[in-house]
Amino acid sequence: MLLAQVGVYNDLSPELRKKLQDKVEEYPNGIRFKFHISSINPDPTKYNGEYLWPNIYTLDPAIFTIRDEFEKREGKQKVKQIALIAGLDDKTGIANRFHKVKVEGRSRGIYNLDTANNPELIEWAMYLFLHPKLKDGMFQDKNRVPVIELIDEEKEAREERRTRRDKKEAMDKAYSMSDYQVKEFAAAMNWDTTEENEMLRNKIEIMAETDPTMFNDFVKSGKLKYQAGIKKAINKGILKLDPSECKLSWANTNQPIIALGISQDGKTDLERLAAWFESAGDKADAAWKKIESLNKSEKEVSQV
Amino acid sequence: MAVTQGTVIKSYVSAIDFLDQRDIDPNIYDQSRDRAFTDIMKIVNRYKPATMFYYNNFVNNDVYEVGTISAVSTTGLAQIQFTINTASTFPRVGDLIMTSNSNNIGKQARVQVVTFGSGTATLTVRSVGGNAVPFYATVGDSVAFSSNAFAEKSDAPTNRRYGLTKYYNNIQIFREVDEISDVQKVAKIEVNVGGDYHILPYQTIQKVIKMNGDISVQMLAGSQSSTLFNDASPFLADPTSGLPVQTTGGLDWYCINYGINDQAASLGTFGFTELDDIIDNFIANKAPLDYFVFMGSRSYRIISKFLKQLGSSSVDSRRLNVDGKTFDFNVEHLSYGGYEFDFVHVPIFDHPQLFSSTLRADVNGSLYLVPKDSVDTVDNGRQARIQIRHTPTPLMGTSANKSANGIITEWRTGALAEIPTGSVMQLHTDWETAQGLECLAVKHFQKYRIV
Repeated sequence: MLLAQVGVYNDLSPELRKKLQDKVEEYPNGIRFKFHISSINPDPTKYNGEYLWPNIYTLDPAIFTIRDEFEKREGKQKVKQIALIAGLDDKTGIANRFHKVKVEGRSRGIYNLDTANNPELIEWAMYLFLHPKLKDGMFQDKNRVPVIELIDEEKEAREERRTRRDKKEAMDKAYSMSDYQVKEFAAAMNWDTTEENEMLRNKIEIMAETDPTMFNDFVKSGKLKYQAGIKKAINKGILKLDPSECKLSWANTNQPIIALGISQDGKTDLERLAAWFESAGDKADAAWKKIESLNKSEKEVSQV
Repeated sequence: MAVTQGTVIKSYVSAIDFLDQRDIDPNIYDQSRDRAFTDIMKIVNRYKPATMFYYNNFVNNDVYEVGTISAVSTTGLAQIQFTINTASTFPRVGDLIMTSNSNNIGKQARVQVVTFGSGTATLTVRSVGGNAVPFYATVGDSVAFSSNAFAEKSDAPTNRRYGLTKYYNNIQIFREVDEISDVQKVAKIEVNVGGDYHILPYQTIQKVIKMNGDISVQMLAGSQSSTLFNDASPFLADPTSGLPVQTTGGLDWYCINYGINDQAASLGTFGFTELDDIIDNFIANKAPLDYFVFMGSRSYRIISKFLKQLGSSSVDSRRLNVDGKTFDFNVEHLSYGGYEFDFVHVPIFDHPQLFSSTLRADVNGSLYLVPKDSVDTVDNGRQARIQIRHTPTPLMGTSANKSANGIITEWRTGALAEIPTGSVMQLHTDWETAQGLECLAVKHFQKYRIV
């Protein structure tokens, strides 16, 4: 049963109603929602498990308003009141009883709507798709904690497969790095490049294994080249870095190349300097060419 | 002042410094009324010693379980097979089942085979009515394992092990302090407390009211800390010493985390729908029938208006208790649906600086339903539903500058104490207590927001 219009409630525009119906049809085997209503069990023995679940949780608000931007019908407001109508007043015919979504503790936060076998539950699914507490929902209220999350099994499978693919790609890249590339990578990561190659390889593989997406992006990007080049030049005594204001200078003349000031976004000095060399134009390009040529000729003198 | 001629008038006398008397009422009037507003003795009036700073209690688990059918292999036959979701291994051969399927009204089936999967159990069941009475199953049906039946010379059924559920809360350390110098301690003021014209008694009374208020607030709406005193790397810690701080969960915390937490579909309305809701929630948890309903004035007014039928445009005077010139709009008791409710207005819910409708709207506008009975133990003992647990005072012995009521300890230090403890001319008074709330069998407690 679809979310029926009763009086002022659920008077949705045909477009929005169609979207909701399409959304329900995306899940022909039923729709499952995850309610994030547990709290961590403070009991150090965790006797009853890692999490505590309320015995009965009731979703609020039960009646809410949304702004239906698809509404173009004459005389209709865009603001709609949404509710699951349970009954009408005998005399006035106005809706005065409403269903509420309740989740029992024993379900461990999983709310299963078997819309495939029980069409009456379609109404409940449509209601939850409109709810302001649905994470990434059409009408999510960013000021409320998103208690409800749609369990999209296909999406989860897609993401799991993508993660697996990324991991394989990252591990392949990590395994196939030459010794030179390992040193380059270590320098870019601001690691100690004098460490044994085996130890550096281990670090790289751990990184590829734990955060493959970041690893792949980093290897593909130009940042690796710049970060490694800057670190090498510092180690060779070509450049000098003053971390108090992220100031990079030529070591022999003390002539500054760039001072970026204190980091506001949590990025490391190397990352910020690499980004500057990548995007700052002619001045940065000229300095970079010089750094590259000196890097080729100078011998490494120290570690920072 | 030189002698002058003329009538002695008010301004002439008032011009002479310090000559006019001042009319100052020596009493200090209790306008803040925090003492009255923070009293929760209507809710909690029992203390029980604790031996540790964390206290646990166990409750028994339900002896029955209900399964939900998740897949059906065969249906509409005298012997059918289906799968249920179950977190435990409750079903066993020999169980007699009843289900919610409308085709199974008046029918029972016996479990003949059970195969457990991961979180599932596949059951083969046989209708007790034979071939003439087929049994049905559809996904979503509820299955009750309500009885059992065995053959002659039968072997024992599979043994079930019943677990226990543990509830847990913390003792919280509360402190308050007062400091006064030698000069101000003896300097007199114009108002008095109990005939004492000094500032110290007033300060002391305010501090004690605040401390008792802090305890009340925590017992009502405290949130249990995840940090415990025995944490080696505490999250909630004193920034100087790095030592852990722990807090106790209050009645609201118990209801939200362990009990029933519900609310009216449309806040501001209360009627039979909401009453039915409250009772249905209790029935779902096999709760007792007799309740205290603790609440603030806003909620009480809405309930009274509904029960006196004042919500509509007309007033049905037969429902009002008119005694001479007094209209009594308060409803104190309700019997409905087999349940008894005693409505208790507790002022702390209305406290504007603690639980106002804008500050903590959920607490201010909720009913807290607590069973009136004592909870039974499985061996027929009894315990109060709500008690304050407190640890013994850590302070040793008796002395002239220390006093305690068994729960809160007060001690005085500094050069001005009864027994001077230092050289600095000041009196330093400390209050300390360690308390926590304990609610028993909280599955039967309900928070129901109505406004």
